[in-house]
Amino acid sequence: MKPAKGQRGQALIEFAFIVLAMALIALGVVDFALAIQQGMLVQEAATAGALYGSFSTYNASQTAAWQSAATTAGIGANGLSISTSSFCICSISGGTVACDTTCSTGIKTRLYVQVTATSSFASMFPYNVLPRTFNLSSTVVMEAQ
Amino acid sequence: MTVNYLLILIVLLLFAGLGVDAGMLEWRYLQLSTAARAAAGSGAIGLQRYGTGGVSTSALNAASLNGFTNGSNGVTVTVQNPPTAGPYANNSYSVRATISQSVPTSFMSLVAFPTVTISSTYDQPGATPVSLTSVFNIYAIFRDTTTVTNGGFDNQSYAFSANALDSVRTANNVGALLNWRGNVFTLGVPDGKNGANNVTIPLTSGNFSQLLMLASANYGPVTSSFVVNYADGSTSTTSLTMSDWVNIVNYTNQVIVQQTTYFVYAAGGPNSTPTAIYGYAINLNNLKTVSSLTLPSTRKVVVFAIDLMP
Repeated sequence: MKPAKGQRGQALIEFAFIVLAMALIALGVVDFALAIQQGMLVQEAATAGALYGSFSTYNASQTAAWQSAATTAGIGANGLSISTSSFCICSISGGTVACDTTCSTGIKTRLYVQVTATSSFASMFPYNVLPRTFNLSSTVVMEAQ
Repeated sequence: MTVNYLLILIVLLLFAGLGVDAGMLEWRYLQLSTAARAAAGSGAIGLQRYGTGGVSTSALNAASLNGFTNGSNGVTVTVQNPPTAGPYANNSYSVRATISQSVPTSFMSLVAFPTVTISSTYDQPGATPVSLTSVFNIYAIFRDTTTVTNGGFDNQSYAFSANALDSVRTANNVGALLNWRGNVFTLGVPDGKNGANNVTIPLTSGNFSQLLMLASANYGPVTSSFVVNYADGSTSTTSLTMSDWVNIVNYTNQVIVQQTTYFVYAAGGPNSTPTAIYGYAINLNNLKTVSSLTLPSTRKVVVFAIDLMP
């Protein structure tokens, strides 16, 4: 049975509406996936840097090399910046101390390396409820000795 | 028709939401895995430095430093030493860390999954240390205030500076602590015999996959053979190219474990020439029980510490 002229128009409007809604959902999902992908890259960058720094006593002193390892692992992350630091403690419950501190006779400090990777993510499309650009950041800490 | 379209839209939204939640969980899992690795590694270091009492606190602290505090935000951190399962099960030097977290979902909660528990386990292989005290025959490491004697590291009265290797430990007159691959190596006490050369070193009996060795060469580079002797009488020979201790060259079979900015020598005082102690790995047949390691018969090669990996 052939639909009436008015019904055809209504179907067209409904179809247009659903296509628009689907397109918006698809764009949102794509943007979200890209953000997640970049977030994981940032995490991998920080992990690679911390693993490099904690690999040996020598590596722990070569902060530029951790930074390089992190940067290499994070290739593809937009505007990736890496910051590195290290800190020492005498006991888990205590605060940080100078790394050349003698904690007790023969006991030296515990050394931790810390790498923070930060990347700027810009969504492909503006969403009123979310900022168009935001930072994704990850910090990894590993004991080096 | 409108109702049909709305239903389709709702279903699409739910699938999109499922994708959003899955993505968030995957990201969280990556963070959780990193934290588990840090926890197991720190637990193993805690074990080597402080004994079994240092394992759990070290691992829990490392997990917390990486954003996963036991008992907080649905996080559970489990630490095992020795692990009860996994590749290093029952190995008393290894540590297993498992981190689980109950993560709230956004869209999946609409279809009866308000939370999803994710979990990651990391096994840190712990090395079995080999005592070299009985075989040390080289006076290789001296404090800055001590005159190098007995030929020093290179038989020409030049030696590694204990202060430069580890100032804190040297101040307490104990051997330096060096880290390589998550293992803490303790070097010999300064000013005495603290290097092994041209000897056969008894190894801790057991089945291991790798022998990790801290060593250096003088008048190098040197390419020489290390012979692993197994309890069944068989042997395996590994050839290693070792960089000189001051003319530092990178070879594929070595890594720099510690580099100092100077050495000491008999005429007195430090000399501002960098030195290095290197790490070497020798693969073992883990189906056989190791017995000993025969060092090359040259004065040029000096070994400082050995660990055996499961």
